[in-house]
Amino acid sequence: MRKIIIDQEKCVGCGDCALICPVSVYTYSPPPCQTACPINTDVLSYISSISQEKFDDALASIRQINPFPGITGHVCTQPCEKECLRGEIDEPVAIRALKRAATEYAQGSQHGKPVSMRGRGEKVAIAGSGPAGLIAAHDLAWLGYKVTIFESLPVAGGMLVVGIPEYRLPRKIIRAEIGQIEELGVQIRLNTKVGKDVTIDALFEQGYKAILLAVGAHESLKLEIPGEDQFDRVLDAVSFLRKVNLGNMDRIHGKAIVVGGGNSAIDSARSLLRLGCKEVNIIYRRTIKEMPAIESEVMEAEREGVKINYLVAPTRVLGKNGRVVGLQCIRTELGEPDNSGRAKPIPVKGSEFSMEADILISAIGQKPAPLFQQGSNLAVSTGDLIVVDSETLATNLPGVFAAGDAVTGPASVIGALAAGRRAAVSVSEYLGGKGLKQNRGKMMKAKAVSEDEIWWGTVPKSGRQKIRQVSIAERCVNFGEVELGLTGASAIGEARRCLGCGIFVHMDVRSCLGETCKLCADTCWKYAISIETKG
Amino acid sequence: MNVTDKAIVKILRFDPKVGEEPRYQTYEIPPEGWKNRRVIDTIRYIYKNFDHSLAFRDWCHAGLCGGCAMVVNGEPILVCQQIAEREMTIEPHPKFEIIKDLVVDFEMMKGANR
Repeated sequence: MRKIIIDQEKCVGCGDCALICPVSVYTYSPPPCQTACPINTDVLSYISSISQEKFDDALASIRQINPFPGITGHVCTQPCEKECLRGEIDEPVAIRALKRAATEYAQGSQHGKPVSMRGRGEKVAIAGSGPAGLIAAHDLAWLGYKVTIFESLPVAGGMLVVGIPEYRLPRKIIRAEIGQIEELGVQIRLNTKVGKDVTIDALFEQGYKAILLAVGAHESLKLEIPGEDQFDRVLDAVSFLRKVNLGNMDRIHGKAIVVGGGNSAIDSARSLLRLGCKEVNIIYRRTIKEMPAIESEVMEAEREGVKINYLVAPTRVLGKNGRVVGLQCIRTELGEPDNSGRAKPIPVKGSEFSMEADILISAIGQKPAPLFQQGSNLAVSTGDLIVVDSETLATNLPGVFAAGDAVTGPASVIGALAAGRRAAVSVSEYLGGKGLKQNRGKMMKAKAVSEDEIWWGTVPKSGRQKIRQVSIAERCVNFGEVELGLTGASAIGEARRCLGCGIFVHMDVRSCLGETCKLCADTCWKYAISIETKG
Repeated sequence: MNVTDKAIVKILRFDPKVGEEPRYQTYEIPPEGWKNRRVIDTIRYIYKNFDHSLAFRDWCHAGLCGGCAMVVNGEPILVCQQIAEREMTIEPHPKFEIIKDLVVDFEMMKGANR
């Protein structure tokens, strides 16, 4: 009988043994945090590195999959933390904060010199330098393609720069990580709009072999209520946040109303406070349960003094002398679920009331700018979203792919990263390169380890480490960063809360090749595996 | 030459494309083909001298690639890392589908881990 012994104290669950075993003795189930991550980040590896106080190793292992650890460390919507099994005991591990800690406390060079493969030389054009475009540029440049990004705005970064306010994501982090993409040989042409300054056909004529449209969703949906277009100081969230983030917004005094319940609404409201507004009201026609905004952001907004009025819908913009003075609203109640699966708000008759406002921001959703599709045969859906094949992200035009918010409507940074990577695989397959096929398989097939498969023993309860924040009084005066992350010591403490659920659930010992092979034991960099042959 | 110096090697032969039942074929190997040699060398000896239709994987010879995982006398081993014995029954690794003779489809399990 053969016996494989894994020293659980040494094993970090990296899965290398499962990959090298020629006869697939190990069936590896990744931890739930990893399968929850749209780009399949190897969470367990970097957390275990941090718990051993090796921040450099942690950053290196994040970078293997994610070229933007700083950006995602600040603003990721952290789907991993919802799945974290530590949450069954007390609180989930603060995975995003640990990623940020890895970027902040790694010593020496933050990253090695980027290397890219040589050989392929096809030119690829990417429209839009948001997260989807940037990760696609990274992957394609890494595979050896010559990538040019066309950006319509005067800055690179897309919604990362003009959508997300500076108090959530400091600009120097975006600049540094975009700089690393440029070091790979990616060219970024600012102030050039694909579809207007240069058409898709013109790009093909210039020698680009494939085009990826990652233009994002930069046009706000309209409120469709009377008075919306008549008065000054009625803005949509996208143009308001763009003005604020590019530094083109003057200080505002007085009262403000924000309509909507998504992240744009919360970002607008908190930005308004920082611009000097005395009173900021958010009105949302459903309840907090249906609100799509990140929960912690909503809480922070309320702590800073934003008032959120639930079950209220706008009916008319009130104005005087060409300027907005208020908003007429109506109370609502929730009815049956609609197409989006959320309860439909129904106006309550006779419950009209009005609110005062010196500025009104509508933040009820975004779509891609329609100008983009003019002059091409690109198929678009009714909401101006680009129609693509769900698997390959190819549009109806040959050689043209699309990814990110332009396809899905406004979503998360991590979702855009996943879509951009998938599109890069398709582009590279389309151009006959090798592609990242393996990665794609990994994303689709792996099944997370379930709670019953793990034996933890007794884990002493201990809540999350404290993530430092700037005090309320200090933060509302400028756009300085609100969250300050974990200290080095508390990051190590937090990483040690991780239960390490990535395990080998099954070991098929009968098919093990025993001492003649021992590839798993040889490959294990933690020397955790030993093989015994008995009898 | 002493008769006992010959090794008796039984190899499972099967070609799913032909549609015959799997069968064991027995070979008698002279000492130069098995004494102080590895199992993989014996299989190569059979291929060279007796049976050119035998299919097997013959990759790195160093115990690194795992291509020669087979079952010898009931034990799954890497045949490039084991000394040949006087009596051997060599079968393909039972976990995988047979492509031909001793060659199996390692790819079929890979998806489980990726």
